[in-house]
Amino acid sequence: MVQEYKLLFAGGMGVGKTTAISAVSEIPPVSTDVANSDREAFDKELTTVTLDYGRITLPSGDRLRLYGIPGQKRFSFMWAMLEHGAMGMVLLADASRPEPFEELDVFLKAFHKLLRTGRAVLGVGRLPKKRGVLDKYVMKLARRKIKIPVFSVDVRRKEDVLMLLDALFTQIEVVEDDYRGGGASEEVAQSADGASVAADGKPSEGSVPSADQVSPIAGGKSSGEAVQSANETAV
Amino acid sequence: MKPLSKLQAAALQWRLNRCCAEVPEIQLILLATVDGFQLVVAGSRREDAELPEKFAAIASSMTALGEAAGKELGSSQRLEAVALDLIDLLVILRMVDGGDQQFVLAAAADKKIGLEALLKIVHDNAFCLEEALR
Repeated sequence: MVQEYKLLFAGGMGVGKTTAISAVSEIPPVSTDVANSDREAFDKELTTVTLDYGRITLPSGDRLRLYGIPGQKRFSFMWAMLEHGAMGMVLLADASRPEPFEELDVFLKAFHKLLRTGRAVLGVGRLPKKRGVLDKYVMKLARRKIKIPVFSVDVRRKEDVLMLLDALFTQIEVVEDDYRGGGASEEVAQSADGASVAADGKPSEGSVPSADQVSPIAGGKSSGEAVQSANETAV
Repeated sequence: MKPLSKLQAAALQWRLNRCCAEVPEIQLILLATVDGFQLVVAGSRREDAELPEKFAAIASSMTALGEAAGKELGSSQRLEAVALDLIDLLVILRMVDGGDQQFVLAAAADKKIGLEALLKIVHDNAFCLEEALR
């Protein structure tokens, strides 16, 4: 039977959620972009006010439904609605912002239940060309007891977005394995806690498409590279 | 976005205040940008902390969703209005053409007013606001 999985793309205004979904969706994305009148906050012509929606069909026939949240805080009432039933999340950040960590903090707080389950990845765009910047993001997450892989990405590149999805499924598999194993580590306790929150994403045997299933659409980027990157960049 | 002139803001405020004075069932009526910033607000609930601000954001979201739904269903017509029929409340969201900019007029009223009557009030006010915005 064909399964459907709901994934969220979250992050502040202008980090590239709409671009990321457009890059990988097999259908023209449903977009609720309107004219942006908040040009002082962020100078871009259009902004998402409800959601973006895209879809990917896996080789198994299972479908990934991709939802992009509206990034502005005044639309935060939409965040909880869209988070409901999500199996995992791609969190995006923009390192070129004046206060990138403050902006990230808003989403770490808003989605902390899902993030602390470990069913997420963080993609950081527009990184400055100096060493150690990505580590600051890892430390930021660690201080909030969030253990997820962190990647440097350019969301205009399809292969970068697919790498994030690939890493996300690897991450979800690891979390589910831990959950099924019933270990007593803090990570497993967090996963169990989160599983009760994300009711529709409740772990069950075979409920998650494997990283291998995502890999064939990953545009030549192997899952091995993605996992290796995760290990290199994460704590 | 071009900011409203003082004269425009005063004219819009007068219009919405008058609408609320004439129709006591209206709890909140406001004009917002299409991306959810409240511009002018009137009605008995206008003083509720944060309510007009949230209502503006919700109105923007719902109209955008209506527009997207229309496109997905194959409609080539532009969205004109969205009606939300709640248990005790009617909400009408109507696009307002301000020339080079679009706005949303959102009205929430006690249900006893009736959908037709509220739609007519919102349409009439939208025409007046369009004149003032151009």
